[in-house]
Amino acid sequence: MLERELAIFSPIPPEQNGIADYTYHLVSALRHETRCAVYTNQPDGILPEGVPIREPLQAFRYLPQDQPILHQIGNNPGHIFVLQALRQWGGVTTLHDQNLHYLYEVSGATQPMMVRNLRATSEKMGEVFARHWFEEQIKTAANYALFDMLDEVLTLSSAVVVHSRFARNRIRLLYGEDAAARVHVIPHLALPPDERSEDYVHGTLDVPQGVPLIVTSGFATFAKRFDWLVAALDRIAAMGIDFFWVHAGKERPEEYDLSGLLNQHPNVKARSRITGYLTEAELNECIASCDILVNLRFPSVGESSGTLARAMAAGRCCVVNATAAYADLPTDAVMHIPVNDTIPALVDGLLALLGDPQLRASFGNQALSLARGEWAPEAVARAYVDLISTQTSHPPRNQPRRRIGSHRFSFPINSYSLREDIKACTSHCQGQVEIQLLASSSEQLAQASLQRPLLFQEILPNNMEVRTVNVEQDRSQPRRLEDDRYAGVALVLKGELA
Amino acid sequence: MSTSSATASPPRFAALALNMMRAVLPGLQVLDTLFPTAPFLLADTPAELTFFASNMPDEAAEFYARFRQSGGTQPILPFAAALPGALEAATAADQPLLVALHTTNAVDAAASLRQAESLPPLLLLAPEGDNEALQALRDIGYTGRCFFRLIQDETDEGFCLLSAETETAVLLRSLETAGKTAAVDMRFASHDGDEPDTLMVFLPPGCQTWTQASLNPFSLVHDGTKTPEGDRQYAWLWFSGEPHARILLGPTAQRFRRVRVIVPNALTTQNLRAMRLLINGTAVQPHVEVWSERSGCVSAELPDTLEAPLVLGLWVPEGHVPEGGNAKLFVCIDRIELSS
Repeated sequence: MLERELAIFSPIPPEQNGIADYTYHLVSALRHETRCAVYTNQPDGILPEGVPIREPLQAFRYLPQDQPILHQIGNNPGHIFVLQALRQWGGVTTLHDQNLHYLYEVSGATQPMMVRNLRATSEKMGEVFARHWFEEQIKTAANYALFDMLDEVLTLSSAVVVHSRFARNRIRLLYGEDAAARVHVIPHLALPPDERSEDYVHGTLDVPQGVPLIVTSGFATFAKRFDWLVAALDRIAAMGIDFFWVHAGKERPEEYDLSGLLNQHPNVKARSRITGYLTEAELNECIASCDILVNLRFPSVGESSGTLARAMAAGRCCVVNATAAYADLPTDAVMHIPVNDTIPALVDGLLALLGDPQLRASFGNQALSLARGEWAPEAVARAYVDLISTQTSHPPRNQPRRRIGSHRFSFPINSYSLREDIKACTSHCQGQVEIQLLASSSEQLAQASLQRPLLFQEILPNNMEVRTVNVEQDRSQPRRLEDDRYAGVALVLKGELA
Repeated sequence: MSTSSATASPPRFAALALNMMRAVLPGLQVLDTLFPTAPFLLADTPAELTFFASNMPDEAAEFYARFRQSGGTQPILPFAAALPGALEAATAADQPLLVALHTTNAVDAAASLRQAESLPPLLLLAPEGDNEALQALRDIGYTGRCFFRLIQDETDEGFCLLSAETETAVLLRSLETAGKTAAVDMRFASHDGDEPDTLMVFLPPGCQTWTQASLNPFSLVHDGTKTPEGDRQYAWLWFSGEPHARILLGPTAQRFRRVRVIVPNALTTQNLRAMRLLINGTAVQPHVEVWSERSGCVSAELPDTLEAPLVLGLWVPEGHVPEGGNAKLFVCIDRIELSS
């Protein structure tokens, strides 16, 4: 039990995303362990009885300095307010995605912040890609694969929760031991299955009785490798082996054309359904009714799957790729398929499972045992409370805004190495910065400006956001400039280095 | 606004005190630095609010900076920026100007007043004021002072009235006269010396306090983007742009038990039924009365313990851009009622 109410910043149902559902079920278990309130932009949200919904804008009324805070953050626009709350209040963060690139783009993060996050992944590569992006307007899919944009979140969080050892190890390799020391693995919670009615699956979807049912779920994306699955099912269908496949989720044709893929494989199309968005009850029924749940993922950046946890809690036999967080799972609880030469392996694996109900049951029972143990909502809630109760000192509130006046540099404006000098001085700095460009007179200042119309763009580091520009009389000690004259005026640039 | 029965609460005392002073000093203009606590919101003529964020955390200052006063028609300026205009307007209209201060901002306010071209003739310090605050104000010329204290049951609230020009004893006598019209018991007493300088105003139970209040859109302090339409007899206010709007009710609702929002147009019945109220940012499930396809009333009980200032949030799920318009409209209200 925490002494104070636990403040949780997260989207909640009915918002249609997995993290909203996760928070609902986490809070359902947490409320038996400690008082909690959820801060969200959905006053009509759905939460367990007795858990208040509060608006993030008025969080200041409820959050004294030592209030325990938990953020649920994922890589989509529904989490912009969570990122803002983390900046404002600090706290423990559950990182549901190992890449927040899209979130940072849609949140309107400043260029210096983006550059900081790029450079944190790789100093040199980040600088090159930042230059391409912000100076040449060149950005490719490589940006999303190479740069996870986690630095700010890792820095601001007093502790970070991930759902797999893979995710923790990945952070250790990219951000070092200090960052990894604050990363804790709490498994994705596995919900006990609902009553199995089968009305939806065999009624509405008209799935034939007695035929082994294969289920996939969620938004259809490339990384879920439907190309591999459809190719494997096509071969199995050609062998005359009976099965039925339901994709329990919504298509995003602009992102991945699943229907188009099925049109190219009529044998699979004849044995399949795409449901579109499902209610929680309908999704539960699909999962609980399936014989095999297929959850392929490649490439994976360490994300975890709520559907997979749900299927394992229902004692279903699950098939995953032997990659990233999925490789953490015990080999007797799920069937692992390699990511090289996958289709033949998938065909062999599915054939074995389709033909052997006892083999499916064996995987399902091991999965169930895991789900009832450390993945159970009660166990996960206790793990959160144990972790949060050890976070005795949150970072100071408003830390990013209070890094004031810590850096001040002066340079002669007519120096030939101005850009390099500024870069050398500021490359390891963060926070507020003041750069004085010294000139002997206002005439020299004007001349320098006219000679270099793009002066700021040329000389300032791209992680600096300029807030004010003033011309001031130089009040510092007389300083000899490179042309042997003394400084008389200064162009003073004040801003922030991200 | 009804003025009968119920237990008094200090914020309503404050509004009562302001009404009494307005009775004595016709045309009195009031500049209230106590925003967002804004104790005068339920006075017959609300004060002009000014922003004094020096004693507020950054997060709170950012939040309260969203609000506009007089139905959204006027900004809430920082005190130092609002003062010159208020002085000029009061001088031009030959009306007295009173600045309401709190002991926590009085010393800082004294610094701003010192910069002004002339001093406002009257200051109201609430609560009564500590010595440091009184000394800071004396140093800039407020040498005359008197106290008055409103007392009912076990509740009381004291104010110090400071004057730069007038004889405060005269003002106290006038207040006594004004108060007597309300049939309350008044006695002069000494505050800390020999001379009687305090007017004790005893309010019998069931007298001089409000059991209900009805707020017209023109008197609302809110963060919506639109201003009221109509006139002082009947006005309405659309909330637009965002599904969530906030109305500052100050501390005045602390002893009220219920808030009702009258909605002449919620666009659809479904929108009306889905409407949510937020009390100080916490969502409550409201009681919804549907009067017609689009109109009705949304109400909620106020919690027993309520931190001031009270901020009422209105949230509706769906908006609609009217033909020829460019802003998405969400809900229209024409009255907010508070009752015990």
